[in-house]
Amino acid sequence: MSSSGLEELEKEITDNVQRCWKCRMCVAMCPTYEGWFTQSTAGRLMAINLYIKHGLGSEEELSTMLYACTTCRRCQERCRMLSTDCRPADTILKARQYLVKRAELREGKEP
Amino acid sequence: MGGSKSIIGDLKRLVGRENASDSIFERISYGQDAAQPDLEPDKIPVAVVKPQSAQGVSEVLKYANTNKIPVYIHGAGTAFKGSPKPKRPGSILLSTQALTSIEAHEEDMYYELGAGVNLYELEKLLLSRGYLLPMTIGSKFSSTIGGAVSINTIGHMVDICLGKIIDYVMGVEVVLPNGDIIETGTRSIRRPAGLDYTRFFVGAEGLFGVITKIRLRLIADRNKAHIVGFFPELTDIAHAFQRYYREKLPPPLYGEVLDKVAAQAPFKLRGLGEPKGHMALAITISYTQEEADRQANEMVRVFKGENAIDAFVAKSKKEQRDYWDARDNILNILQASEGDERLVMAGALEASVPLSHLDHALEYIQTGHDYSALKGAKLFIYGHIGTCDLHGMWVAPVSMPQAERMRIAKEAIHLEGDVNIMWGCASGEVGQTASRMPFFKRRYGMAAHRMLMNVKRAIDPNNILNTGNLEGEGYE
Repeated sequence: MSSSGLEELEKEITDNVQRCWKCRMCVAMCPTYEGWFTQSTAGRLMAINLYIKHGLGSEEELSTMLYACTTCRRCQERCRMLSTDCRPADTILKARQYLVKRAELREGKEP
Repeated sequence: MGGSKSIIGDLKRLVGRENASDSIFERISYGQDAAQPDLEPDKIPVAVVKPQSAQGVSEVLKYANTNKIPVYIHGAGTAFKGSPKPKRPGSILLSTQALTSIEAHEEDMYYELGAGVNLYELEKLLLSRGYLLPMTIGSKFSSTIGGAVSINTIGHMVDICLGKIIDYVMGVEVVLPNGDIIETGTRSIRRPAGLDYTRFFVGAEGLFGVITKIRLRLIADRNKAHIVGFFPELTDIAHAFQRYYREKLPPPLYGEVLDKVAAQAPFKLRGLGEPKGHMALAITISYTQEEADRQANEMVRVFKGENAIDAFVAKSKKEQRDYWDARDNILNILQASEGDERLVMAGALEASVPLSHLDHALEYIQTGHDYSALKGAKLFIYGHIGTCDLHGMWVAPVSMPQAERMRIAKEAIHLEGDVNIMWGCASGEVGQTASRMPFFKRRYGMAAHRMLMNVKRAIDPNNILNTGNLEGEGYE
């Protein structure tokens, strides 16, 4: 993936995150939630946005957070039925892909 | 006082390492609410703490008071008028979400609830025991009883049917800014006469203390009937509720409105087809099903008498749930678009009006004002028309520049103030401080604001709790 491909992925991810209303209806039902926001979907979406758009936090911390998601997609269904349908599970998967592609570009593995 | 490293170290000692965090992701996630704009970088709290007991809250407040550190109080963080967002640098964000104790005292008609008890879980528990939770909050899947009580809201319900949540709060446990833990109220269904300082804290939005426990009076569940109506004009729905009350019929538990365009996406999602018009929903309640049905039939009669295209009592559980969910899950309306034209909320209004001006207010919100950015944006109208509380949501494509969206947001706040001022009201669902303080000063005057500031100084001399909210900082 070229750097422009990475930018497209960034745009897709941040547009989805922007659609999230931070209603937090996906927090308590997330199977990985043990009391901290970043253990939930809403927290992960906020962290993705902070990292991509504002350069905050570390890649390592974000990666740990994203890979803790079980991808059970309960949040996605809840968001569709009760909220804005910001496709949170898809966005988390895209963000994982984004981190991998970034690492590949950094290490020169991309053609 | 040392820097942020010293503060986080001290807090970890006070509440336990696992109950305090200085992760940038946690600090910003908690520092945000559902409101725009995003948290300003210099206002990011230095730490988030989640004490596991009232004693833990007390330790944090004693520490903050001694060191004059601002503390912002969170339930679940679902507010969207800016109140729980930090306004001053170097603050601590204190969440009461871990206080989830539930003590049942059904023999004395109350439950004692930790402030962090989730509203959805509480509603399920109460229903399973034959009781009704006297509030319906749109964010109930996430929000807490402590947050709702601290702003004295019943959400979508009609105030004159069951009362406000204060009418069900027999007492609270509160941690004062100096760390003292006090109890208010009574364990009897006989409320205290005279000074009942429960009222200092219910609806105070965390300005005077941190509510850690709530004694909630129980109310037996009632029989319900669901009414659905479709109207050619929104003002027809206003006229229907005006007529219903003029005829001295019993107030319904809910009286809702959803405009036709807004209804399209939620209807499609639930297979309800195209809305026949602007939708009105009502739920009547009574001790007997016969009486609830009688009131529902009266409501249908009134709807039809006020120009309804269709009005009926929804009989099947599925039909009742689908129409209710279409209205209740209002964020579904933002699903009505794709790609670059995806819609996001740009501005929001919540204004209450006198019953006789419901129709005028609906017209004014749509076309009566002179705010150009609002007129250029798409408006969805919904709300709790049976309790004279109207919402407007102005939406914009996700591609709209942030500055233009901000202009819509600001104009919506101004319009909300204008509507409330025009007819002498004050909204009624979400809290009054922070973003609404400029309105508060216009509505009640500087003398009223000074009085509140003096009360705040008397109870919180170092001004550590939700600092800047009463001052209206960030929303001047």
